Amino acid sequence: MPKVARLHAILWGVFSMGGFIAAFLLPVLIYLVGIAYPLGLWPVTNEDPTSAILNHHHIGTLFLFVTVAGSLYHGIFRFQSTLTEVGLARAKRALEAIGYLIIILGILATAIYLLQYNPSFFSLP
Amino acid sequence: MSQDVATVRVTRYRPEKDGEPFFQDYKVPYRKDMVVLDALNYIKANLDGTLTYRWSCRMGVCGSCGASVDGVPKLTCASFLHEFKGRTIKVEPLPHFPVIKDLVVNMDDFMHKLVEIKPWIIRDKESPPEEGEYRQSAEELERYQQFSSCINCMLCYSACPVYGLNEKFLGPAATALAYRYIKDSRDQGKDARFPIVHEIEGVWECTLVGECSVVCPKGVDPMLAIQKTKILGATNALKSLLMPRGGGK
Repeated sequence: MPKVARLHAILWGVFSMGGFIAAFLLPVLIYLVGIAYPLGLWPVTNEDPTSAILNHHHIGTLFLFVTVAGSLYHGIFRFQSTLTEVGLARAKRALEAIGYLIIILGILATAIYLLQYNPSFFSLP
Repeated sequence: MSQDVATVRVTRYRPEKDGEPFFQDYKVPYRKDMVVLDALNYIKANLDGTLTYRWSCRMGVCGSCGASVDGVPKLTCASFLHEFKGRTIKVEPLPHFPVIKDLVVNMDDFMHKLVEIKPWIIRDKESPPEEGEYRQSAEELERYQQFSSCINCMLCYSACPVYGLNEKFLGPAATALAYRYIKDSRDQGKDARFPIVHEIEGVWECTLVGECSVVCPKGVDPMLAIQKTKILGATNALKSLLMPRGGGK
């Protein structure tokens, strides 16, 4: 009797949400940090974009974390699909492990940076 | 009407005689309204009676004349010879299926999958005919209508690189048909179908290549069915996690 792959379904849901984030939030972040700020289009005076996002409201910290973590997770899931498509069945597990290690490190580094920048994140409403 | 001559290169394979499949070229005179299937019929009738292939309706309905035409899975009855003018037309058996003879492939795997997803309306309790029809609105019909156009031609399986790598993958047509019944307002068989489409080698193997939808001769979008089935699976899994007492139904 076949069995519903619940864990895989939930992970796919996270991947799908990551795709939404990568498609909609990441371009906003790239525009703010990579285009608007260097070209002087940034509307907030005397503040770099990261500070402007993080300093005024906790939702900015959450926005940065969700955007980076979601995009990274979407990336590794897509990377897995690509490994399947190109038929790298033998090397797949090793490459997947390396990929997951990179994205876990990336997500942890993002979380640590954001908490160091804004240590009151968990203590304030 | 004037006639051109097409060179048709057909895969030949007779397991009882040949160690390996090989190509054989045939010269076929054709008119503008002739299709690849007509060329195969011409070869069989006039040049080589041993050529073996499947066909039936000659009008894109039965789904039995699928082959790889110039490297693309197509219905041979819907591929016009004049589109290949000046080139040799290569006709091969559908990829990803074992070949029985020449262009005839073994469809057993797909047939098993088709039965597995139970492509018929399941009711908890059948009502006697005198109680009337199971009524359905136009909106309810629209939810699944395009997926009911599948003719089981298996072009989508031939175009799917994931099925080519893993034949346990449920695949495009079977999922599209499962989704067709899952979305049918008259059907009550979700509990029977979900374990099949949502098992690890059900929809989750799909990597969203999308070629299945490109090659479908009936305009069905199996990729959409797979994505929608994935969304149903993810939603149900989340519900069962948050509401363990029957939330994931």
